[in-house]
Amino acid sequence: MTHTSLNPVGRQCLSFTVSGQWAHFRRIDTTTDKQTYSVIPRTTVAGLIGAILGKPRDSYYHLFAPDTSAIAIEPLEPVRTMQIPMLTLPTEKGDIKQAEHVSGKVVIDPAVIEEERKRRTFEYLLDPAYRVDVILEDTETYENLKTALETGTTVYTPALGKTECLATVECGSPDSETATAEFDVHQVTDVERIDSIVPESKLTPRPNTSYAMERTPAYMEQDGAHRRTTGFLSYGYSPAAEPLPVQNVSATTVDGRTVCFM
Amino acid sequence: MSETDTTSVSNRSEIIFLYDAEDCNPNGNPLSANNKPRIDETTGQAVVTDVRLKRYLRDQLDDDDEGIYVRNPSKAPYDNVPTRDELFQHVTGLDEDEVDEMDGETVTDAFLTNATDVRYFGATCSFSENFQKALGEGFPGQFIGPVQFEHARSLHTVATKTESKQLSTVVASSEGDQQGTFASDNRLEYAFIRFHGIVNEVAAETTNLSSTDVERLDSLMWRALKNQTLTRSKAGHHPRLYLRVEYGTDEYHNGRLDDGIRLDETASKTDTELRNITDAVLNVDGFLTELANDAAHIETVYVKADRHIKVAVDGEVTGPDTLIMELKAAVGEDAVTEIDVYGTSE
Repeated sequence: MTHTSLNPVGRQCLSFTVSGQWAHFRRIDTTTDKQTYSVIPRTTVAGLIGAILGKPRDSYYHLFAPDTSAIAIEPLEPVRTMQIPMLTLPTEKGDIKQAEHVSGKVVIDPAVIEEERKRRTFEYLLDPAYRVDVILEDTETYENLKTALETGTTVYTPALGKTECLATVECGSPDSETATAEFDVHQVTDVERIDSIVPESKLTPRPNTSYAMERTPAYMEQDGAHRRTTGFLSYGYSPAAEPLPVQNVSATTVDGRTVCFM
Repeated sequence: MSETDTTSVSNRSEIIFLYDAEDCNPNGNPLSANNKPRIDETTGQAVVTDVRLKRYLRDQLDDDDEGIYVRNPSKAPYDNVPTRDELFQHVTGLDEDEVDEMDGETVTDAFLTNATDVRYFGATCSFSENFQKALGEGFPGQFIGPVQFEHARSLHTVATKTESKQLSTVVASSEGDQQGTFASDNRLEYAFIRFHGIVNEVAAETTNLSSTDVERLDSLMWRALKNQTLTRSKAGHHPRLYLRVEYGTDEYHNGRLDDGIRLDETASKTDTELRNITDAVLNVDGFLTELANDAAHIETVYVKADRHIKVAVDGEVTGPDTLIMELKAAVGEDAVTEIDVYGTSE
């Protein structure tokens, strides 16, 4: 497991809430059915911040590397999904062509599309919301993000995984009356419950408590004209969006919440 | 092919579009038996995908003689299906030799000038190796659409019609088949559907989306919902309220203006009793509050309201005229423009 090497304690972080009516975080381990992760992956958070700041495609991965960034993610709404079947393109060998100059995009001949469309199911999250805390080493990016959050501006239209999943980004807590984005990060020890998702290493199974586990892409780097995932994260989360019980671990606090930066 | 002006979009817009569907199937689920309407099983709301809405819009653009790149497969003849290269040539009117002589940037401009739907919604493009070579390095393989819509949900729990019709038409599934198949007909009693979308002025630069294109949306969406819903399963759709909030502040949009428009619980009939527009009353209090809060950022609110809608403002049930008045009170008299949907198209 890759993990941030940045020590969050004593630093300042930027905190925002991202929510929407729909989200789809494509699981990379399924084939025909397009299933979603329950928690927004760390790489998607990086992309979302890239969109807020108007960073061009493939230009911002180094800002979110393990040694330059730390991110905590707290699910705020219970996980609820809906299957949306759509007519999609075939994936038979020979039908798929790589689009020139486009990383990771494939296209299908229209003649094939018109005759061979397949019915596939997309799984969407309904009414998801996450509180995200971000520490960035790059001070310019940090300051730009702070300004964007406090003024409520986004260069590109923010989305949760797919462009039709329009997202709303709000400064700090959704209940907050003030537009404060910046919070101090403090260390706490002997923590019994954690509000954010919790790395697998900090979880100990306990009787009468349940949580779900997930493994999502966390870090990526540019690889020529493409991008490459360089690290995954395994973590526990509560499908009911409640704090997770842990046993006397150390964590950090941000704005009165206990979170784990990853 | 239409000529496009080059005035670029300088303002962000947030669109809210409400239409209702009476005794029809607003968006069938192709994986269900007999194309049942899409319904959120937990909340019981009807769901309509962004793809469905964009198909109406593309088909209307096609009918308006605007070039479209992503054609309607259900309207295409199964024989004589164009290749990828032919689609490009069809929409631009350029043949391969002409393309070869142009540089990548010129070809890109020619494509975007003619493919109106790509300017709005983007497209992923790829062609045969030879044609790709003719296009040149400067032609991007992907255009990201500056106009994005969310999947829509109905404002209420929907009721499916209990009386199921067996279609009497026998349709052969492919040419030459002697025997056809029967189909069932699935409809909703009523659905009041709310779409939400954003027009991004920064992304508009990459597809040459012009301010004329954005203005065209104001009539296009209304007319598309009226004109493109004439098939058997879609008859019964009516556009009811269209709002495009154009922001003056760079890179700013509210993001949840749509949340503020809902069915008024006391003035509307209960969810399962809704049958037509006279049963529904829109509560716009939340929307007006958000607009007033954002008034400093808002340049113009473009609005088209159907005369049949009823609106609850501060507990009082009124009509569309009061809504316009309240909009003016929220953002200023001069900042509200009523749209003349059919005035420009004649």
